[in-house]
Amino acid sequence: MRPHSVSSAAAKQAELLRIVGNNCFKQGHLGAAIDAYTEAITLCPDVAVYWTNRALCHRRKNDWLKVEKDCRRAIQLDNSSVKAHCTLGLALLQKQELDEGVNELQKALDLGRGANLMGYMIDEIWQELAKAKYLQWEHASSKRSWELQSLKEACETALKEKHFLDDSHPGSFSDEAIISHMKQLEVLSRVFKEAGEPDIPGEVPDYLCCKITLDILRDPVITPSGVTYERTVILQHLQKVGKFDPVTREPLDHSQLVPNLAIKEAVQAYLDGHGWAYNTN
Amino acid sequence: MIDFARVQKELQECSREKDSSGIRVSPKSDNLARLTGIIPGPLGTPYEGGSFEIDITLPDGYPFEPPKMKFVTKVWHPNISSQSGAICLDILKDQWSPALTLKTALLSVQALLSAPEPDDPQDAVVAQQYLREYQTFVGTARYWTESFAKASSLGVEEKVQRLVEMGFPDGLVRSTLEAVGGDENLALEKLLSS
Repeated sequence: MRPHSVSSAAAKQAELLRIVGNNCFKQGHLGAAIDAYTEAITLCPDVAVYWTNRALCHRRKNDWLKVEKDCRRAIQLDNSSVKAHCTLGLALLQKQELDEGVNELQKALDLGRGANLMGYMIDEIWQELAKAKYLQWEHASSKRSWELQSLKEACETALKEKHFLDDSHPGSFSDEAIISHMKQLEVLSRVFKEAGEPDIPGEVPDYLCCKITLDILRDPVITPSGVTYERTVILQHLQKVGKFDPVTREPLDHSQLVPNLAIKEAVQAYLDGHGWAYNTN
Repeated sequence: MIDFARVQKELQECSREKDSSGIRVSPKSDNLARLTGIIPGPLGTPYEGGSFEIDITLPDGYPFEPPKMKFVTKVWHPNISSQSGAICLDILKDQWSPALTLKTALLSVQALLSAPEPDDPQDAVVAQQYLREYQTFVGTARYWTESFAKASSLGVEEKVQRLVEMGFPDGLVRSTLEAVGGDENLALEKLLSS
């Protein structure tokens, strides 16, 4: 079949171009790399990797509009590409499109964990996601705090007016009325203080933190001893220090690690309510 | 690479708990790899009342490698070199675990002060003394605490000078002070009665 052999020759040629492109990219010749990937795309426009690789070149050149375009095309071709979602997310964040950028990074993170990718990539995505989420929180919390403050002032004014009206009735100048008024103002102030508390940065509870990093858990795994660690970190421990549980010192093999989904959900719930905890410094 | 984010968190935790634990850790400069730890001498030991400074260096692999610790304050203890301050403690060597922290490691060092292990000595001379002449060991350890681990340690030379001025020979004054754990009055009594 002639068409088939033509297309397979084209595919072979495109693959060679990809390798050329990769080498150029590694050596920092971004223009040459882009040319190679572009040729590969012309030969085989349906291979997602050519698009994502070219997007990575644009990313290095800070040409974010082209990054976005190439990534979107790559995702159309392969919706499970971690690289494409991650890089698209970064491009959107550059455009200040926080919400959509966060969504893309989150997708990349979920896909990456499922595919058991290298830890460093997951870590990088998490860092970027955390930065964006922190920004999102900063915007939202300053808005919330402003809303609370103006509502509080309105309530105080209303209470004072009510007190004044009550007072204007004959025979109600009692101390009791004043005391109850003061008390209401006090309760009001407490209610508003409590409402604003989740937005005040503090300490993440220990039970949501890894025993090694002391930081909030991202991809928690539990050992047979029942202790929960950050996956990449406990793997590093098993490789560098020894095959034991760091807390209990019971023997431990990496095959015994199990995702701790309950803690993962608890962490997510905590982060949803306390966006400041995304602060990675 | 040292996990500096973790070191930061450890320092915060130490400073929050310093009143209950008595243990303090602070960076020497803005480089978090070099720190100073302070542990109080445990009550009911010859180290009681002393405040011991420990030099801490974090290796590149921290927390997957143990921190390097040694005493800066001179201390008389079977498992601590009286010369270099080197500490013989398993968790600072092959028994390290990344779940330990600077605080828990310093707590272990403090526990070592309470429970010497003369059968696995760092300083053979001290260990021999501990095993053969326990009372002398206690006296020396107390004297070293008085002399080196207290803010008032600076006063030792003055005590010596005062007693020497009373007419006692320098060497005898020093050994007597050492034997009574640095108490000037007790030393004087002993010198007068001998």
